[in-house]
Amino acid sequence: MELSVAMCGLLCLLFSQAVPMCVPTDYTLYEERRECDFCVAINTTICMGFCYSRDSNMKELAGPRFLIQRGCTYDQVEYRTVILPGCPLHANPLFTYPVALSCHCGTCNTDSDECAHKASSGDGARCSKPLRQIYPYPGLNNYIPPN
Amino acid sequence: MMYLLKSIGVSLILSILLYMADSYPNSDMTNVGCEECKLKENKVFSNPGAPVYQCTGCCFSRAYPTPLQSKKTMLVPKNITSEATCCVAKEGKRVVVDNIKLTNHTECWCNTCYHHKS
Repeated sequence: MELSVAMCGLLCLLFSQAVPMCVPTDYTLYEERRECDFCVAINTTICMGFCYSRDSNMKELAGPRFLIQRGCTYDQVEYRTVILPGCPLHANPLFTYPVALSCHCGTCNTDSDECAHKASSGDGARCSKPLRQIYPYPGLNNYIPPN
Repeated sequence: MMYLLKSIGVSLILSILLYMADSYPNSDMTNVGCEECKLKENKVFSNPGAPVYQCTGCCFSRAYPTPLQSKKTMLVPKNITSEATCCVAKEGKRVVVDNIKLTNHTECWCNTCYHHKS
């Protein structure tokens, strides 16, 4: 019994290394609004990794029919809301962002996602205002930081 | 006695499995198990002495929350931005196999995906 359990555990561990690695990954999101005083850094998870694709030898004849093209994208997603600090009364301080619960290799859904053609090399400029870190409590869906 | 033998057996099997795991190529761990984008023979179209190659393999992609500044420039703002690269032919040669016009891929790379949208 113990032998079976140990073998199963180790085989599962080894097998997990043999599948494409499109997984939720820690990511820091930087957001600032013109009307607010601070730039905020929010820890979240995104989908990132490698997915299988295949080009076609028959593109001229058959078009995209035999192409396999997939990207690492969100499978299950949860939306969380935080209040951005230092915003005036007339401005909407609420900021909602997605958190990846699981990911998969699939097609990009043009209804909900912006499908960019190529992965950019960098994330660009992050903040032009003083930075504030926001730490959501684990397991909390809507985090409101203290003033 | 039986318990001792069982323990030795489990230890031996665990050692073998750990040795196998340790002998994996020492490469970028995010790509373990996902073969790199490269030429692979397309057995459907290949004939003896005249192989036809196809670009196939894994490329990097990611999906993340759309930055606020980018959202402002969108006609239809989207909450998630997906950036993908796909394994495609960088170069190829036109060939005719069994009266079918094909492109025999000669070089591959991870580049723009044209058909990854749904």
